[in-house]
Amino acid sequence: MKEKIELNADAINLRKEFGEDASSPIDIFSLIHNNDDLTIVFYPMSDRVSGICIRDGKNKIIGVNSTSTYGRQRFTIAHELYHLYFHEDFESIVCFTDLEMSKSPREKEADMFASYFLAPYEALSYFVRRQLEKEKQGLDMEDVVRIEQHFGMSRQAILWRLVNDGYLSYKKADTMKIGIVSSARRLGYDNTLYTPTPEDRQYATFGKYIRLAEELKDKELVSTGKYEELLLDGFRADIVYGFDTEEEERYD
Amino acid sequence: MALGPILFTGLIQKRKKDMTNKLFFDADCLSAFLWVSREDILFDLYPEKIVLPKQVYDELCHPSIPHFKRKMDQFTQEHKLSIKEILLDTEEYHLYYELAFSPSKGEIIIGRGEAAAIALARTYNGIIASSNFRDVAKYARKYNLEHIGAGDILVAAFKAGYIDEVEGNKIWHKMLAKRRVLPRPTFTEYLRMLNNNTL
Repeated sequence: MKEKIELNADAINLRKEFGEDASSPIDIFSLIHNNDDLTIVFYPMSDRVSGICIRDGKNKIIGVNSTSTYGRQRFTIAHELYHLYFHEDFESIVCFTDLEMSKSPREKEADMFASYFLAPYEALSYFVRRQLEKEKQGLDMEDVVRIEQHFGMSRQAILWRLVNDGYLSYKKADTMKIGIVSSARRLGYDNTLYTPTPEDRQYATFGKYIRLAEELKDKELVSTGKYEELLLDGFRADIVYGFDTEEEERYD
Repeated sequence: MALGPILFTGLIQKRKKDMTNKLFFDADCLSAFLWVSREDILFDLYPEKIVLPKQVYDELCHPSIPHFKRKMDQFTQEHKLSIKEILLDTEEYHLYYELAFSPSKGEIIIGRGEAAAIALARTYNGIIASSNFRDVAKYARKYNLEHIGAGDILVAAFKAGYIDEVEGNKIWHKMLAKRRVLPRPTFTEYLRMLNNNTL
């Protein structure tokens, strides 16, 4: 298994490849559009599964469990990016939710990479020292909320990281696994990070698949019916039928 | 001669006859009426004649449009429409497969729903209900099948007195808002065009 320092370097290098710097919080959902070969599919999966990834030639497909929280979905995408960009010998991988369970070295690497991709080692260290003005092992619940909100990570992902990097003891981290939403609300944050995608939006496809469907239509290689079928297969009724009546287009 | 094959052939012929004049809808044409909640027009005009190929039903059952599935299931239970599967190695299957997966050289791949509607209409000498005239009309001509779109259905409803011109225009506008393909910008213009063509 790779050393943490290597995985952190991999994370920073991939951030740069996507046009991001080495320290800022990133909007991973927008960032994936910077790669022409990526397709991302949001789909409700079992609680045990966080996501899947498939590689087929140049095509890279990430499936995200849309019933997991927004913060966890961000971590899942970063985790799958590691498989797609740094592992060679696979066609598809199913990845599990629990970060603390016993996993293969490959899965552990992907988890650690994902953590560094969302919060690079130096960026987290700087945030703790300068923003929070805290030392290692001096973090309390309020600090944890501020860190997870800053880097956009789920509570499980941030506690796992803080324990791994020696900021928190297992015992102290255990006390922070409950009251997640209320701890954030008390500090004035909304609960977006901790909630799943609303039920009516849990199915969607973005990226290359949609662009290819448009290309097939534009080049008149498929019928209009086939084009609409492809989009519906990708859960994009919004493109086929336009906006819902209550959701109007705005220019502001 | 053995009686079995004769009875079997007779049964097939009877089934085909029962299907004659049925309308085989594709997803585009049916969804136009589902979106504007005016399925009643279809049921008034074509009682017990509306058939959805299973492929069309499946296409409209996607979780991003759950209300379509609810409606289709309800209408099926009420016997207002029926769902027809294409069985392997049947006459309709071979045509369906050719159109949807392995078209002749120079032909484009058409949707599974469109292909199923064409194949079933051909086998059972029915009518194709599809608003995609650009891709479907040539097959209707090739197999000598009647072909109507959502616009024609509204005209039939107008002529039968189920809707007036004002209502027709409202429905037309709503269908266009849902990106359904119609032959003219308004119902009035379409009626005018048909009148001019018949003069």
